[in-house]
Amino acid sequence: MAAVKIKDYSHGVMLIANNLLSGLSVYLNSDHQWLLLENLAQGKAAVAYSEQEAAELLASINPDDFLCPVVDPYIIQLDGNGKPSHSRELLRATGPSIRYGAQATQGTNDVSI
Amino acid sequence: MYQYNEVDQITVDDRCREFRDQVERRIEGTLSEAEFKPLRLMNGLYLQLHAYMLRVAIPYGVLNSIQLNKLADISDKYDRGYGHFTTRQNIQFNWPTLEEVPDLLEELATVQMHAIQTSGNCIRNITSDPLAGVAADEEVDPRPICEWLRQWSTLHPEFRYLPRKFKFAITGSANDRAAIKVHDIGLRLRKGPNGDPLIDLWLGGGQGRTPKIAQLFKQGLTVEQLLPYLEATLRVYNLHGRRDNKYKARIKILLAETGLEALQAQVQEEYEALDKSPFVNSVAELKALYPHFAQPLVDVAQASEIANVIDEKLSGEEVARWYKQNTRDHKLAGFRSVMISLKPAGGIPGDATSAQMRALAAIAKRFSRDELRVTHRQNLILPWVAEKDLYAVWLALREIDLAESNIDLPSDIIACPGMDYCALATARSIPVAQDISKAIRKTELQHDIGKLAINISGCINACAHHHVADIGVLGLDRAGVENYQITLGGRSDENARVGERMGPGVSADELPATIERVVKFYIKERRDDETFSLTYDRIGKTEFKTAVYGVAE
Repeated sequence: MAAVKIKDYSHGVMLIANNLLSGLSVYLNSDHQWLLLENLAQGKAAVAYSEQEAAELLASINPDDFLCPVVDPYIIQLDGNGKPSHSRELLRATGPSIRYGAQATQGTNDVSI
Repeated sequence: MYQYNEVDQITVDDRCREFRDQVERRIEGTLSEAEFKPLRLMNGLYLQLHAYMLRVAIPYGVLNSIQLNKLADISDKYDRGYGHFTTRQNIQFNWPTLEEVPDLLEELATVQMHAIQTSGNCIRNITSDPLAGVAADEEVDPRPICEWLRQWSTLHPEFRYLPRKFKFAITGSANDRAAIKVHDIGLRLRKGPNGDPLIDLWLGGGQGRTPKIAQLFKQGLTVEQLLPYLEATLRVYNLHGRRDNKYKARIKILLAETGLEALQAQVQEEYEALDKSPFVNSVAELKALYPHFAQPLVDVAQASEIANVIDEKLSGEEVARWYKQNTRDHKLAGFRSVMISLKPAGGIPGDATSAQMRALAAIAKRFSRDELRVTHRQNLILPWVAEKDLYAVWLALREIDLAESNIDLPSDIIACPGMDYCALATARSIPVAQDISKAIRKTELQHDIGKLAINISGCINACAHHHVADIGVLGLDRAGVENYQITLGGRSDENARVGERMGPGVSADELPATIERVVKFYIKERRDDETFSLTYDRIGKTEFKTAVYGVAE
């Protein structure tokens, strides 16, 4: 997947990837752990504020190491509320915006991004 | 339907073992992701936005109840209780884990299914008329040829690394329900002189960012000629297809750049030079497949008697509407094909829950000679329902919320998974399909509108066939905001053509009202039962464009 080009570092950027085993989207925290967004404690994401810091963050996880626990890591831009600024990344962070499976036709969709 | 022989089963079982070993090596770190990725793709395993996605092949869209029950079990055990039927007559699971995929594939292999060649630059699942073998208007049953080509193309050593993916679709009817003209190769089977079909080969169709309608490339191939001719065609493509640019790598671009006559000449030369000895038994192999697709024995007297006694219960308003909209004429007197809409109000196009799958498997076993079909419009079909059983089938489908009588109507929307699942998507498809469906249901009696195809793709790859819909919608990303472009007047049938793009896209919020305006304009302008495309041709783009934007530009 091609990452969206970062235009603005002022609100910070963070790292997203897929967990190798589960495939689920995970985020890097400041303790260098890959966590699901729901498990990422408030303010504990590893955030970089410049291109150089972002490159260092990416390099720090050794993405080319065969034993790297994640796949396709890349940098995403945050908005002023600490959320992904691009709709795609926000959607990725919050999961499908629709009810699915047995819940698909139950009530209206109340998941919004 | 076809049952695996020993070779098929060994092939699939071997592949399961091979992939298990590859997954183990990836997890223990002896394979890199760069090495592993092409291997997992060859086994249908993608890494999507939220999770892995496994695409399982349903060859030419034919399923039996044992297979559907297994798909239900898999969706419960390895997924989140549902599956998604696709426009390539496949099924996708959205949440499997890498560790469990080898187990999943082994379970699939026990019911003669697999995910081989559902991704990668190879010959993909061969699709066909979902009414193959049962349609009243059929000239030639395409299923034996489909199966023959499935066997020929599976793990074909020469065609595992083509310049790009390669899709076949096959029909044996003049009324094309398989969209053969928007496939790399479309085969139209006609009745030949001695019981064997003659085959017209259409080449170079496709959608994506450069939509093309296939051209008639070779007319009247015999079954003796077909495999060597296909081999020659694929060989020329393999040699000359553009590997330098993935956007120009499909055969449609090779055809456009080379020219029809020049490419025909290249293929003919290759065909003539080709060693035909490997094909010496191939026609005998095809003929050995015919019994797998033999028409079931039916008591003709009983069938015609049944045909004369249509259940009076079918006269109720709701069921009568379903009968009219969701059942189709059959080759055999006393039978009908039942189309099952996977587009219920508020639902997700193409999705079925495990409970629905199990119920459908039971219905198919009891009422449809243990057989179902998947359509490229993301619906299902019970191909063998006796008319005397129609009312019982309707009741059973209603129990599982799958008796909505909207086949081919505006709410029968094709939608790809879009940005809710797909890593390639640039916008969401499913919620906008739901919103459009809601708007259409609210404002017009769909049955008065009649046949109308609305197809919504979440990116330019056009998985939802938006180019060839009456109303096509393409979701794009405009500076981080979803934006939807409208195309009108496309067709995917025997008169296939690419729709015309109207102009600037509209927002997700504006989209339902936009579509509603177009539909209302069509209703107002059409003459009698005129189809959307005919009305579009008569009235013209300019007028329809005004309807799209609500004001004269």
